[in-house]
Amino acid sequence: MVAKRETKTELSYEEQVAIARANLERHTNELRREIDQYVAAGGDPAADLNDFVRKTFEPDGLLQSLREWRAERGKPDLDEW
Amino acid sequence: MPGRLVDLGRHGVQLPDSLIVDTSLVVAGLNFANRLPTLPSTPRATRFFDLLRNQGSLGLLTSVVAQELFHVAIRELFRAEVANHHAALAEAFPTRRRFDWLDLFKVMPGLLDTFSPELERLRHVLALTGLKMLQPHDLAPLPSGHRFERELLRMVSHYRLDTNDAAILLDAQRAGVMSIATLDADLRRAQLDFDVYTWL
Repeated sequence: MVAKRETKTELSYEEQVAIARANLERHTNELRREIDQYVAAGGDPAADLNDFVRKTFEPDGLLQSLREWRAERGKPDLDEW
Repeated sequence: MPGRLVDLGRHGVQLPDSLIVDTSLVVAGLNFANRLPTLPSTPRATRFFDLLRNQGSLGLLTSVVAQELFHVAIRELFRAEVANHHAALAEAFPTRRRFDWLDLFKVMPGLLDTFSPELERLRHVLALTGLKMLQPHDLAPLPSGHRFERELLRMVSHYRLDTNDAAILLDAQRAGVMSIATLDADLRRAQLDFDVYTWL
C-alpha cells in the first residue's frame, strides 16, 4: 500500500487569524439574521426569555445560586455592586 | 493602547457592534425576568440588555462565561429539587439534617438528564436575545510559540485577575473583541487593553 502524500500546507499565523475573524463575522451575521427572522415572524425574544425563566427557576433562585457560588470563591457579594 | 472605562449608567451611551458579556451580568439579566428587582445589579442588567437589543449589538459569551452560566443554572435546578428528595438524601447522609444542591448532585446525578431540555432551552432563548456563544473556530490561535497555560498566567499577572476572569479576556483577545461589559469591579483592570463597559 502506498502512503498518501501530505499536500496540506501549513497556514501562517496571520492566515489563521483571518480565518477565525471571518468565522466570527459569519456566525454573528447568521445569528443577527436568525433574530431578525424570529422577530419578523412575530416572536418576542425578551418576552420568551422572561417566560422561560419564570417557568423554570424559582423567584430569585438564579441570583441566590450565583451569590452562593461567588461566596465560595471569595468574590464580593452582589450587594457591593 | 489603553482602553476606556465607559459608564453604562450615562444617558446616550453607545455600545459597539459586539462585546464580551461577563457571567454576573447575564445572570442578573435573567433574574430580572422573575420581576424581582431586589438589587441595583438587576435593573442595571435589564437596561444593558435593552441597550443591546435597541442598538442591534451582540453580546459574546466566552467558554468560561458559558460554563459559569450553566453551572449557576444547574446548581439552581438541583437546589430547587432538594426538598423533593429529602428521603433519599437522609438515607445517603444519615447524620445530617440539612442538605444543599451538591448533596443532591452527588446522590442523584441522573437528575441532569431531566434538566437537559431546560438547559438547551436556556441556550436557545439566550441566543435569540442577542447573546452568542463563541465557538472554538471563532478564536485565533495564540501567537506562534505561546503555550496556553503560559499565556493564561501572563494574563493573570498583567491584569491582576483570577484565572477565570483572565481566561475570559484571553478568549476575547483571541476573538479580536476588545470590549467587555461587566458588573464586576475587578474586571475594570482590563482597561489596560480593553474598553470596559460598566457602572461608575
